[in-house]
Amino acid sequence: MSGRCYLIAFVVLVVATGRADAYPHFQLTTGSSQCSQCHVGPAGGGLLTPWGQDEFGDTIASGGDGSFLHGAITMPKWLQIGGNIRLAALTNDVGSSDGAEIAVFPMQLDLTLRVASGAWSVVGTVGVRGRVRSGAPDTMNNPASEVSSPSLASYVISREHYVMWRPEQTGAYARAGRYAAPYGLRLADHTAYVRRYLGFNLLEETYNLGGGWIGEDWEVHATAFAYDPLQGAARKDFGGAAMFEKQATAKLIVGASGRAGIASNNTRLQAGVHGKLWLEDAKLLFQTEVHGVREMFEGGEGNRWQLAAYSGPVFVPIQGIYTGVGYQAFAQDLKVRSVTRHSGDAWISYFPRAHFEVMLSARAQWVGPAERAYLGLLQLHYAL
Amino acid sequence: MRLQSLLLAFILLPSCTGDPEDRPATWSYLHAAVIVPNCATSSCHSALAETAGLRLDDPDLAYDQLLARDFVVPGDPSSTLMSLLAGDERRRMPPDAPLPAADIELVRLWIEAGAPE
Repeated sequence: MSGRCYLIAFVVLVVATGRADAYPHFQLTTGSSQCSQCHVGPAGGGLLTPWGQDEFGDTIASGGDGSFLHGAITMPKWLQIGGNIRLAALTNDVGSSDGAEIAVFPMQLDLTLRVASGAWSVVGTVGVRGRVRSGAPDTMNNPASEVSSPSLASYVISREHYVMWRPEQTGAYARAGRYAAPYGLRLADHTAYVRRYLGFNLLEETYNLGGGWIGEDWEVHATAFAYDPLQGAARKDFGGAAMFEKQATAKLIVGASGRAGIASNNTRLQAGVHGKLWLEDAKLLFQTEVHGVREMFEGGEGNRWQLAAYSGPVFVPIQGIYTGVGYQAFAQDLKVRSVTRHSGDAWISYFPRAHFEVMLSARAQWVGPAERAYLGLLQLHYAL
Repeated sequence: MRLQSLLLAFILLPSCTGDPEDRPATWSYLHAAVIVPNCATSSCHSALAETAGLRLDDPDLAYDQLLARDFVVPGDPSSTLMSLLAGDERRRMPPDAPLPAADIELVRLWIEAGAPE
């Protein structure tokens, strides 16, 4: 396999298999004030409620039927099926001597099933992790070394599987299993600094015992978590997370989150705030979140403070089109300026009909004073 | 006034310019602070993906593999790992965004010091 193929394979691996989240900019811009109005999950993401399916066609896309298979089949109330298919193409330049690369690849293939009985439900998602595992064993440095390939089973993933008790749309709920602990804005892009560097990267959903309360204009979630030992968590930590969100006015949402994680050789304490402001006349939604982190290492040497931030407006010129720009920063050690990352993002999403999305995005990163990276990404998305 | 001071502190904090080499060039620190968040992510060098047959999520296993496969040759700053991080004559790692130059320098210092575990 040529070096060029290896690079494409690695790039694809990094961006492959995005999570089955919704987009947090639908909150307020569609008239819905809480993620759980449209999603089965109490903090959003994943399967849509019947209300959410209607919203898909009525307020998000330029028409269409948002229900399962476009309404061709009516599912019984106790059974729900969903899923996501994404195909993508990208160009990526990280400063390699052989220049920018181009790749076309399957990004996401997930199927979700929900079975409900009264207040109880079981939700499970099964998917295929990006097609590219072809970072084949590399023994070019030392051919005598023993290297094994990943098994075929490692391609099958389950981002979420949990049991939930939720008697009403509002009020108390509890759930146990694997899912992303509610935290911050919950951006869909797992490469966003506020996700990647705060414990919410791709496939870093933890095993949780959690619960919360959904009020009329506020919600609170608390989670005790343990890392998933099987599906590739980078950080192997145990701990807790909590999030509170309040609709301060009809157009303003504010929230706060915290997370504490203890791993074998370091401890991370992090907390932050987030908010959304919808200017209806201008069709502009401002989203922002800022988090501070205290990371302490075994032995106390190198302990550091970190800062992760995301901010940017989303513009909704007409129904079916969302476009935005964003600024991100991640200071991995506030004492050392030369290791801070900045990113400028721009994107546009077009929903021609319910279930269908075309998204084009671009990102320029400034990594310290010297390094740069540029990414262009096209996604074709079908939500079952 | 108090709010203004807090805001000023918030803006200035990321501009602090401590010496990057003040950070410990030890494997324990490098693994937790640089390797895990940038290289051991689920679809790359994790237990699940093992891209290129390399697992970097576990500090002991990562150390053993980097040395056994000559990605790191203790004392040799021209080790393969350095050219991978720099993208010189090889595909650059990490593939989505390079490490800050100061982190690459920290890796070099560790290798030069004999890559102690």
